[in-house]
Amino acid sequence: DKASAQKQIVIRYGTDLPPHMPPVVGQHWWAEEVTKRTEGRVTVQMYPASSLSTQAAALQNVLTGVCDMYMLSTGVHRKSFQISALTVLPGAGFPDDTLEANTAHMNTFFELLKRYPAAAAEYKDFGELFFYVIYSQSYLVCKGKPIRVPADVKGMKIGSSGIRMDLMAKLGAAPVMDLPPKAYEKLQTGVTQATFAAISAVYDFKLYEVSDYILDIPFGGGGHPIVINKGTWNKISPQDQKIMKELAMEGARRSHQALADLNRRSWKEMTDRGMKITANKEERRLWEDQFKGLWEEWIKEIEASGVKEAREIFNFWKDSADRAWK
Amino acid sequence: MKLFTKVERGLKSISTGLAMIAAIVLAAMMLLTVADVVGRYFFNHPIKGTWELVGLLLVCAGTWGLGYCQMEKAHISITILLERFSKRVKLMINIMATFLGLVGFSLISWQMFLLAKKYFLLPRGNVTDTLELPYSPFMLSLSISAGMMALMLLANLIRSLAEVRRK
Amino acid sequence: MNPVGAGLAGFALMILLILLGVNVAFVLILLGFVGMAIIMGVEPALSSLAIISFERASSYDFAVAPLFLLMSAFVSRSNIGKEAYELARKWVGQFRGGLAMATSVACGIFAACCGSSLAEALAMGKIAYPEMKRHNYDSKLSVGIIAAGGTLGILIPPSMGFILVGILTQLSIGKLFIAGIIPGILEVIFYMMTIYLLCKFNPQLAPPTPPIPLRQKLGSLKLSWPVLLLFVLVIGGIYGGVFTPTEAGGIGAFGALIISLSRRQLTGKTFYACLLDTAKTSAMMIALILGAFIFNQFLAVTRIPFVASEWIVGLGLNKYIILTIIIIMYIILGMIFDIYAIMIVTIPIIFPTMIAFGFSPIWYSVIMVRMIEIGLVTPPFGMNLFGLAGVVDVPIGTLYKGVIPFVIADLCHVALLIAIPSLSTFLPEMMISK
Ligand code: NA
Ligand code: NA
Repeated sequence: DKASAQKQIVIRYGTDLPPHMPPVVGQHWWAEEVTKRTEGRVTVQMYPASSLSTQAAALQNVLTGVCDMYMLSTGVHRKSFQISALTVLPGAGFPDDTLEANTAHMNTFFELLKRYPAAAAEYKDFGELFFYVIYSQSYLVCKGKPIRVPADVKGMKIGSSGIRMDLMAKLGAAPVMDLPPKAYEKLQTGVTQATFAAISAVYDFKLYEVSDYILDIPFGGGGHPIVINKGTWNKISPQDQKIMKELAMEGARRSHQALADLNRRSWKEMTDRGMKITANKEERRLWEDQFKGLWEEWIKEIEASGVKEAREIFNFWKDSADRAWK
Repeated sequence: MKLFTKVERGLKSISTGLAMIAAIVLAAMMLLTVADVVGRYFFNHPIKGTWELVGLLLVCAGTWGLGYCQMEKAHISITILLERFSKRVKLMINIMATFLGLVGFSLISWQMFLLAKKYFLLPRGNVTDTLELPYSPFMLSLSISAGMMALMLLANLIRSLAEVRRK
Repeated sequence: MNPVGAGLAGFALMILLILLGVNVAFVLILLGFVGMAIIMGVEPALSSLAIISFERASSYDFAVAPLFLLMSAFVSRSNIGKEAYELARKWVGQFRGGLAMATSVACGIFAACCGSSLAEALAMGKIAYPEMKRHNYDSKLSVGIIAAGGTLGILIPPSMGFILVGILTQLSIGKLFIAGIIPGILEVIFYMMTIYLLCKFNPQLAPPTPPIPLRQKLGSLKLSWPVLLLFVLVIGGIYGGVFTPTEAGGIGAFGALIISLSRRQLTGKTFYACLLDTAKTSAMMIALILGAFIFNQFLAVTRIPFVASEWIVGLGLNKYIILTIIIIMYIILGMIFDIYAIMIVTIPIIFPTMIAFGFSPIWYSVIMVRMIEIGLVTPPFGMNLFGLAGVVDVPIGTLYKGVIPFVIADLCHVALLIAIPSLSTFLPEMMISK
């Protein structure tokens, strides 16, 4: 009896989202299933909505065992996971409105880790990476006059964060630090005239109530590698590890399906409201010219960190993404 | 005891000095916010990374006054019951309180120092997102202010223990 | 030791030590650490101390509080606050409790500038308390209305409370903000009625001043321009899209500084005193915040809030009985813990059930924000009380006694909001959705 009690492992699993949101629905399902299927040998406790750790502190919290698992965001941690942050690059990401596209996105990520040791090395301080959920593409939502081409943003106050902030500064806009929960207020009062938001967040945070247009150019997606503390992972028996890994596939599927449904619903809402602006070929090209600069910067940065195959990695990612759009 | 009084006086002036710096940084946070808003609204030119910098400056503005706050006995406690106790019990509780605070802030200071060191040695991911400012100096500054607080508490503890012995 | 047991022991010890007179921040930091060490192990608990401390001490959102504090330091050192109360005295001083009622209105107006209840209580404490004291108001009454009125910061928009609830429930933050307006105004009225009743039964609380001829009253209006200018600057700036509520603290401080300087009411020496005093109060506040977040992490890993909310959801009782149980739970938990931590854990579990019962999501969110407000001022653990105790010269026991009538008013107000949901839902439903 004592031996079995000692073997019981409790996993504290944190996310920064409330439990009913699409990226985490599959993760909550997974937590319950693992507890059931391992007959309690591995008990997974969910701590949603930053109740155990915020996204910003998550990396340190997992490394030091405050959390055993956490759903990281590659956008927030782009400086720590430079290669994984490929998903954040504007214009080089995957579509996100079908289960197939989301699955392809996830599979490409795992393939990336398998092919390029430098990518896998980003996770060397953690236990095996077996769970990954994609995140939606960001789009530009604006008020007043529509934004169609890069030149339109000049002189506008645009809510953004991370890499999109850099891009906007380059284009002569006035970038304002902004994240979806607070984007509503800023758009409403006019502190910003436009903001970047994941298509799912546009719907979740009802940004359409305070904006007039959304441009259908994808400005980069995101990814949620779900990392596990190395010590915790190594304590789990191979048989239970196998159960966890298998169930992760179904967990990811559930989240990806829910995300795809939400993203389609969001686009339908925008279209019904007459907010959607479809960029023509020429407009697309103008944006892509800007994006290319960011891609080259990314490649240079990765090369500078000693990874010679940076360009190859980028091309592998971009080609897979392009195939998914077709 | 004479030496101790000297050390204590030294600690007090350092604490006051740190609080003065915190005060000046507070004014800087105010001016930075104003400059950012004015730049953004009137000239379409916000100051890059203001929110990041204001957050980091808060480490200094908000915590470098910790020791001074302790010196002025401005940390909050609830004295409803305490007032009813005898002088001796009061002193004992005071010693316990000071001791608990001393342990708490020493742990924070020590752990903050370790975290600062860890971030200093990290190959990547140790700078802020927009301005790429290194985190470690700000972590170190929090370690210093918690350490200053601990030293003030230690001095208070020694004073109280001496008082017990005198009785 | 199992987590729930460790939790209960930790909470009991926390209350005991705080009531014995150990500094609140010290208790929270040390017990939070020991509790985490028992449940998670020493190593994670140690690193938690550093991770939490740095994250919270460098949080942009908390920067708003010291900046509003600085603003109120300028307002109270120069004559801006004094003149505003001089004006109030001339107009409403002859009524019993007139200045306290004026303070509750001022809290309502300040709430339109400030999205944080703690920041508002600290700022109003600095401005309003010395003035009411000068006019011989009983300190119980003065601190009671400031502590309670300060909580309006999260009911009247802008509001960090509604932003939090909006994130957890995915409701339109714009609609939630609008929903808080009528309940907020009603809350001010409830506080005024409370003051009226308190003064009626105990006239000593608020000595009236002799009435003043209308001519003098009108003449005193010119006293209002500095404070009016400051409010117009901050409220106008927020709603005119010039700056965000978080930036409003810095702007307000700067505005107060400029007004004081232009009227030569601030010397280099007093300017410096304002800064140093704010640095001291900010350190007090940050120590409390660090303690609260360290203890919150312990609270989370005990799983007690999760267990409690799952238990309630699973009861399967009539929806109004469940609602009553939830409210009682929040009142009790809010007396012992940082109410924000309770909300973050419990709302995601309880909210879907309440909506399934057919309650209006917007209305329920307003009730939740009201519960946060109440939790901030219920003894013994009330973040606003702790903060306020740091800026006024009264013992916290007086604060405890002073706030109780207003907590009772809060409960009546909540009962009214529950009885008439349209008070909360009327305005947001009117909002034209494009
Ligand atoms: Na407010
Ligand atoms: Na309370």
